[in-house]
Amino acid sequence: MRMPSFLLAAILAVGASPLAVRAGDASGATAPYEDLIEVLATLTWHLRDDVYRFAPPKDPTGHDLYKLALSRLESWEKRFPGRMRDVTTLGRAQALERLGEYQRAADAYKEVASLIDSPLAARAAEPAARARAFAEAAALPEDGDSVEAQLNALRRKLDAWGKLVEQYKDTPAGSVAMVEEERLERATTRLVVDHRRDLEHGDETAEKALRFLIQKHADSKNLPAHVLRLGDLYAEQAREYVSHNERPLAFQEDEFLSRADRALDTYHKVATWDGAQEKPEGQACFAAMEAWKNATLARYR
Amino acid sequence: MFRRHGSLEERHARPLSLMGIAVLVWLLLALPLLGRADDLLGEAARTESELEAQVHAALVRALDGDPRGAVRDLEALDRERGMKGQRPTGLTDDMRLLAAGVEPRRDVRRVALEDLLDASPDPVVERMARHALEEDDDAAAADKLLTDDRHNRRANLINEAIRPLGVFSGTVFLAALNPFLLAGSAVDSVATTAVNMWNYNRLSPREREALVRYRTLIERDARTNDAPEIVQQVQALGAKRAAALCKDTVDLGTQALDADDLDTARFQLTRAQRLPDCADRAAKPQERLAEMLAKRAAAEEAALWPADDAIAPADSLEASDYEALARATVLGDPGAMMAAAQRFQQSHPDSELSPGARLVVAEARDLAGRRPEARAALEDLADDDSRVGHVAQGMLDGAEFGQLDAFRAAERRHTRQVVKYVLLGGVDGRSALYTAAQVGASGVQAAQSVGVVNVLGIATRAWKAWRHDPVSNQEIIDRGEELLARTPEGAETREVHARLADAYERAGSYERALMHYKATGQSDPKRVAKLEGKLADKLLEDAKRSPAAPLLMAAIARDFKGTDAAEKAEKTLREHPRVEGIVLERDLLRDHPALLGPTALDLDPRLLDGDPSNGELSDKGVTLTDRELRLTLDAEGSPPERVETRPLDDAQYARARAAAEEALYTKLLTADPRSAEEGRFERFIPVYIAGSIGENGISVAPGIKTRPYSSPDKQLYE
Repeated sequence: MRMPSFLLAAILAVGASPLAVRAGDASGATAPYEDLIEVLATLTWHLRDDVYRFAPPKDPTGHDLYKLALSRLESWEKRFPGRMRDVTTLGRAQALERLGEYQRAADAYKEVASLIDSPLAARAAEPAARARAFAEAAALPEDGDSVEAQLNALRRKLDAWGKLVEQYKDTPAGSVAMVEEERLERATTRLVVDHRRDLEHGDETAEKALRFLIQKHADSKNLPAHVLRLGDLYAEQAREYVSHNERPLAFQEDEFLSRADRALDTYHKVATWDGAQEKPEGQACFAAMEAWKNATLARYR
Repeated sequence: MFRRHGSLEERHARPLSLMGIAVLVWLLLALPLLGRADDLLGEAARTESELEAQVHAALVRALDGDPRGAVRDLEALDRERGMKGQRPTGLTDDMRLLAAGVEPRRDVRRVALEDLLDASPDPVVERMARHALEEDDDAAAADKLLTDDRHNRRANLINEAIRPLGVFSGTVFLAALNPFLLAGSAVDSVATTAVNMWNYNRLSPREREALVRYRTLIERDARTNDAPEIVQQVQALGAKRAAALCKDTVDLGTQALDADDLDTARFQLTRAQRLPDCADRAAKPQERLAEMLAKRAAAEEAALWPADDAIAPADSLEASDYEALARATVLGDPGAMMAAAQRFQQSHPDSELSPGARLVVAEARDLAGRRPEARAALEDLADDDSRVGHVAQGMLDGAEFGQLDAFRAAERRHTRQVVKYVLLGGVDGRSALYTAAQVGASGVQAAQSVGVVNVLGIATRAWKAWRHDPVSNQEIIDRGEELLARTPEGAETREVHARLADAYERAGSYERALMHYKATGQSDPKRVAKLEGKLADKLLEDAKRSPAAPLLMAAIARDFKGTDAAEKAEKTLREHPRVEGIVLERDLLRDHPALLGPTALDLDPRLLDGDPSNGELSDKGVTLTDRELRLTLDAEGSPPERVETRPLDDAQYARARAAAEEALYTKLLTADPRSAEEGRFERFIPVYIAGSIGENGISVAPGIKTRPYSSPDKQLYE
């Protein structure tokens, strides 16, 4: 079993520092739990969360709740091997599924289903089948020898996830499938943007791809991030214009301004997007672009 | 440089005026009876031709690598012309500028430029030479920056010491009863001076720029007599900058530590340790960081494990019910969870595991869509002094249950801060110091004076707060938007929209305020009209600063009909119709008569002679657009102006445009660099007297003028 990186870091930090305190000294939100129900209740409370529209839930200390629950259940199993194994395994499976570890989730569900004596065995069968289907789709390759091959692979994988989105659209797992679909569409768009110079009408295609992503995922928590990526494309096009027309007499101010201002407009949307996690990034992108625009204009005036 | 002068004819606008020749030619042609016309014309043409040949030869010599020789040629030519009773060519100072500009050594270049300025060159050459001497020369510019910086430090120290003594607040009137109150101003003055002395030697943006400019000069041309002094300055400023960088970095790290932002603190303090001579300063914060990181790691590790003394069921019956509860919980079925939890609570009311069962009750209620009951259960559980009680409190404070509370708390905080601002003013360290100084000075009498002293301040701040919210609304906005995103159809949605409308209005974001106000579903048309009016006003202000002002104003006039802003936009559009092309006003044409000639705009000089009977250009002058020259002429009657349009062919347009751009550039170059608001003799008077009515009362105080930092690159050093 892989150890979570932050856990490893924490252990190393404790081991390295002479001032480290004993775990038992912690209090408040970070105190050790005394009751397994506490872990299970906080996990299952959020199993129906729409992880597509909203950011993953956090515990009071700001840690990802699914990750924390998984680590705590694993720790419980180490400390009390065999004690309420069916419950902890099912909880682990649920957390793993939300964290996108579908194969490990399917294995855990299967383990619960195999515990004949447990009343949970029968209830684990259906999520086990779902996790298997998710794992199969997730296992499909995303890469290829060429851009064309990569795009084809992504298309096949998107088709597979599209079917699962349709199949689970009215269940809590539907939002998990939509997260995967969005991730793949984002990867496809990034591929198109990165290789737009190799494609016919690459700039237009890249812009269309990003606009499609924005329109299709208008309800997603990642919408501001998608808008920022469109701003990045416009900013990159403005920079390309300057590098292709670097000599003073080739540089046309109006041409440059139309490109730079398009990027600024796009960044500005996120820079003024109240409540969005990406707002500070949008403000920084806007400020950086504006500074570059002004410096470029000053250079050519 | 010579492109600016266009043809030789144009260059001679003053000494050998092209207009003079043109008028002379015109007179000769128009008045043949005067006789000897062919002789005069021939003489003028010959003179012009000889002059052009000599100037051409000098230019060739200059471009061939002998600009000093070219200067000598032109000086000789001027002498020769002087002996013949002719005016000088007027090109010698241009050639001197060229010769100075190509000098490879800084010191020689500076001497040449100073000689040129001593020779009273024409305004354009003088401006160029002065720019090269004072601004292009990095060391000279850096010296001036440092001189101004020293002056401003001293001036600010004195001004800030004097200013508190000139504040006439309510305290002054109470001084009749208790003269000791006047000591408050003196203590304020001393305290301010102490603070300013403490910060006196802080690295300033001017010093940063001076350092860069000195370094640039040394890299570009170290062969200057000033090199030793410059190197000394570079070393001194470099050390000061390094110390400032170290201090700033450590401060950032320490502030991050205070805010419990350990990741930022680690970055800043690690960076500080790598800076030269900064490791010692960063050592203590580094130790504190290591301790805090260790504590955080230990706490995170602790949170992952069950307690050593994890609670176990007391007996087999309790264990059985506990397992049933755990299974129901992991399945997340609200009905089964509620049943198992209630059974556990009824069967084992005194169990230590009971808080867990109550948590499950709260969860089951929430999953069943009964959030208010779930909240009540959590609030009840939060009072429990168990580990699960802490968890319940955390949930109440979290994103699910705490959003509305956090939203309301943000509003309360905002209100408190506004009240605090109105009553006490700003709460920065400086204000605190002033207050402490004044209270210290007036001792127990402070209480009686505070009311009178602050009446004016409170009124001023209340007015300001009413006009512009002095406190940020961002927290309210962020909380409200997040709440609406999560529960767009919740019971409290209408209330949140209404409060967000208020917050956005206070923050000056009227478009969002309008949107949220309309979303309440109970919008009052008067409030909508008021918000639309404010939105239009804001758009109008933005439009005034925009290069697309006419378009934006047209949109405001169209989309916000009935508002004051729409009326103002319409009026502006009427009064200032969009002008395309190059506008050359009458005054400019009078100042640059060469523009009227056939190689430029080809205009009749009588249009500027002040005689309306032969046609007169109005103040708007002429506008040069694409292959068209528009003349705005005075007219009798109404309207008082008429427009005459002349088509231009490609060659005429190119000539006219080149001449117009040249004249505008010259105007820009020779414009008075002083601010338009600066009085004629202002620069000779080093002091000022400033009066104001502010938060601290009426203030009248003299001061030493400071020198503005007007470097075009100043934002690079701030």
